[in-house]
Amino acid sequence: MTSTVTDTNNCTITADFLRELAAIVGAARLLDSKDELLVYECDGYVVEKSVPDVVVFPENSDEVVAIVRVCGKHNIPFVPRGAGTSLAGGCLPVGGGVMISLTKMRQIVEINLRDRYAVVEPGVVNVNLTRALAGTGFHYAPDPSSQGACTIGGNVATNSGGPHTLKYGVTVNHVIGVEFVSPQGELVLIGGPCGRGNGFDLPGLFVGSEGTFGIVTKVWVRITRNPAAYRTMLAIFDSVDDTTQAISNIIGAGIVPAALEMMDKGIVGALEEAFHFGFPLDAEAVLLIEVDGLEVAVDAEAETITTLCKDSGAREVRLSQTEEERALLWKCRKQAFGAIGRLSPSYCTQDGVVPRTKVPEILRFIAEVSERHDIRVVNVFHAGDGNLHPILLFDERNTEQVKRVMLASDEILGKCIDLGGSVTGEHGIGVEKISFMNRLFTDQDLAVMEDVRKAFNPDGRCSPGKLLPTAGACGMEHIEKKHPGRHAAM
Amino acid sequence: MNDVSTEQVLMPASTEEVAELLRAGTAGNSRFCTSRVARSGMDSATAVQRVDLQKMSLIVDYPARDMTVTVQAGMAVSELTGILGEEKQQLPIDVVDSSMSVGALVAGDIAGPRQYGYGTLRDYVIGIEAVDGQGRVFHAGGRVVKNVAGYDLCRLMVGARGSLGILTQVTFKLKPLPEYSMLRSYRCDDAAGLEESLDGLNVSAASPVLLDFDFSPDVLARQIDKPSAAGRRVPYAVHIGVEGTEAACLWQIDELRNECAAGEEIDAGVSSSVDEHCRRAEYNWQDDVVRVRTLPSKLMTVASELAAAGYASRGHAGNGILFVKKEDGDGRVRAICEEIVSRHGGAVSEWSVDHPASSTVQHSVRLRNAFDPHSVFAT
Repeated sequence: MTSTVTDTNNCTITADFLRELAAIVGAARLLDSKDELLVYECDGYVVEKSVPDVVVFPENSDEVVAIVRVCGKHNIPFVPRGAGTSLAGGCLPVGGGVMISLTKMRQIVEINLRDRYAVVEPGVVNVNLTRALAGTGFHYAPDPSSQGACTIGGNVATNSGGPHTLKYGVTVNHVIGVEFVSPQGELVLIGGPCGRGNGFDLPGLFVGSEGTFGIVTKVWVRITRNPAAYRTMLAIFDSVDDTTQAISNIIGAGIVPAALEMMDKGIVGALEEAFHFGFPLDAEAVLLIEVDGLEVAVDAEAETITTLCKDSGAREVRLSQTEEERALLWKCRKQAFGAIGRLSPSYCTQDGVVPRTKVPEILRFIAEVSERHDIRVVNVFHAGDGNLHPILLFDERNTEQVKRVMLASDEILGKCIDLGGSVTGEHGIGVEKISFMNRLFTDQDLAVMEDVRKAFNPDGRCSPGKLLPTAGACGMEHIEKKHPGRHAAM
Repeated sequence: MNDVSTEQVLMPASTEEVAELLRAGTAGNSRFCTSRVARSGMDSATAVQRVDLQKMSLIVDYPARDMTVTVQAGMAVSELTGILGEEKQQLPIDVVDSSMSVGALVAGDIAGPRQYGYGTLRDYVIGIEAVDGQGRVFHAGGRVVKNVAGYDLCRLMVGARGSLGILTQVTFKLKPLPEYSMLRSYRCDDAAGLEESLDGLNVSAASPVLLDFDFSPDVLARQIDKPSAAGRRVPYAVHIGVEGTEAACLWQIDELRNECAAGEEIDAGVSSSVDEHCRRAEYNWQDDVVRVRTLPSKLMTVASELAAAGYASRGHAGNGILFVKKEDGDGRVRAICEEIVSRHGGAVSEWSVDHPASSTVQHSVRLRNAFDPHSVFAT
């Protein structure tokens, strides 16, 4: 370790501070060399970067408590990180400081089938809980597309969704208790297996707070009975307008499928190249639709949906014939982002939401923006929720192209607000969308939210510079900013 | 549910008027409450003014094809139910008295038997407008079904019982009305039979929307007011409701009949449908009961120990919720419940006693101070 390191982000890291951290986690679970730290300069949102001064890997809640107390003693900011899959800069160490990586806290502490809950540490990878439940007749319902990598602690921070949240709800609908270390270094339990007791719904407030309330050390989640039967369909369309009309007609008919996902021609091409599923390469868009429930009911629902799709112009609706075929279809959908590397060296995924019936309008707008800015955009998204994921393709080495991507992104998200929607359905505000908070909310709304943040994090030391435009932190000006519309918020 | 004693009823006609009232109240050392959310019997040196939002009872936006509705908080639940019903949609929250306002429903986090299948209000409120104790009008969430922008103040306001602000507008996501529903009740021979049935139902292929129980051994006959249609008492019973298409309901009832083989199907007497059952006061949290929340696996143990202490119970087996009538008003029932829960886990509540505003949990206290620093909300 060096004697004294002065961080470029205005956080003074002393040798004493490093020694105290090392005494907690040991030298093997502490990183402070520049080349090692570079790995942690960003998460899935690569446009903005900030290198932490130190990364530590605690293995239990006692260590997290001790780390947070040492940070408090030396007035050093800290930020939690799970798998680093945030697409909004949720793990960005704004202002430098300590990154608390929770990937070594990955125990499934308890599974209770009779009472339908599980207790997990924050570093448990989402899909590993469902794998642990295989054969029990239960599963963990929130299934973000990154579920093979993302952690449940991260899901709690961002209130993650996923394809099947259309029917089953997002993370907050499945979290009944949270243990966390407060920014003051206290271990706090809110909720638990019997619910929240007689108090406020603090677990409900905590979920989605993007790491600004404290460091999660344990989570109580609901587990859900597996449906008895599935029917999974692939509806193929020759026009995007027909596809979005089908979405609108399905929801308008009062049908809530388990999942209703749209993929356009660009993404289907990349997926076919990657997985050889047999997607029709000449189709303009496809819908992946799944209904689940009782064996006696799913055929009738699938039939109704097939009719609605065909009435909307689908040229074909294929029904998965085997469990293997269904699994491959879902694998394609959930690994769609991985296939994008075949299309472009860099990409930026947006997360806007519109009322479900406005999906046709926003897709037409996205196409127009794409053409006007000469930025290729492909779409793969949760159509049933109106939660869009336009993926803007670019080369980050081309600074002029990066500017156009940012302008196009801002226009798309602005249009989502104009249509009565939001700028994020499941990725969170992070640092990426912080400038939109003033458009989504009034000054008083933000003042109240700031008061709420202060109730948990009065000094702003925990995850500074996230979620609220008022949550400034020392060193924010040093972030490598490439976002032309964000200066006012910083 | 009881209201606090009040001197004056204020009827603002807009959110801004609510804000003006509260700002004036802050300056004038006044205290306010809205209907049905405060504790009864509260004493206060300062007169409490009741804020009645009946002049704020309009639908703000109902894009039925989006399956969301935005409504002013003063609208009666019955009126909202009727409007949604015209589009074959519902807010699947059970209420005994549907004259209650939407604001009171949300502030009270009212939930009945169908919470087993549908969840509770925290699963349906997607946007709110409210006024805090400083007269600040604030919003959270929005009008789309998926939205993680900003802190989730919607869930904070659900069940806060008016201690953080007065709700003026709420946006809900909705569910389609089921085509068909069926209710069946089964008698079990004893507590062990009832527990066996509930264990089996936990892994049923059917997906009931309600799973309630009665637990009243013969020695406690005087406490139970529900004889069967034949006039025969049913000491141990499980009530199961299903919804969906007619074919799905019939299939589920057949399945459930097999899974409750230990029990004999009975005529539920008073209730003949899911709807009627859900509106029965004894299967909802009322002033005259103590509520116990525990783990579903502990429920029969808790019920048995209560019976041994002389108390019958009933409740929502699937959710681990049990109600015990308060007979004497001397706190004995609560004390017994608390003693039992201390050994098995859970929480004990009385509507007229327990209130989130009285929580001493430090983050709750800080939130209360942030939203209502001058204590203008009577709780």
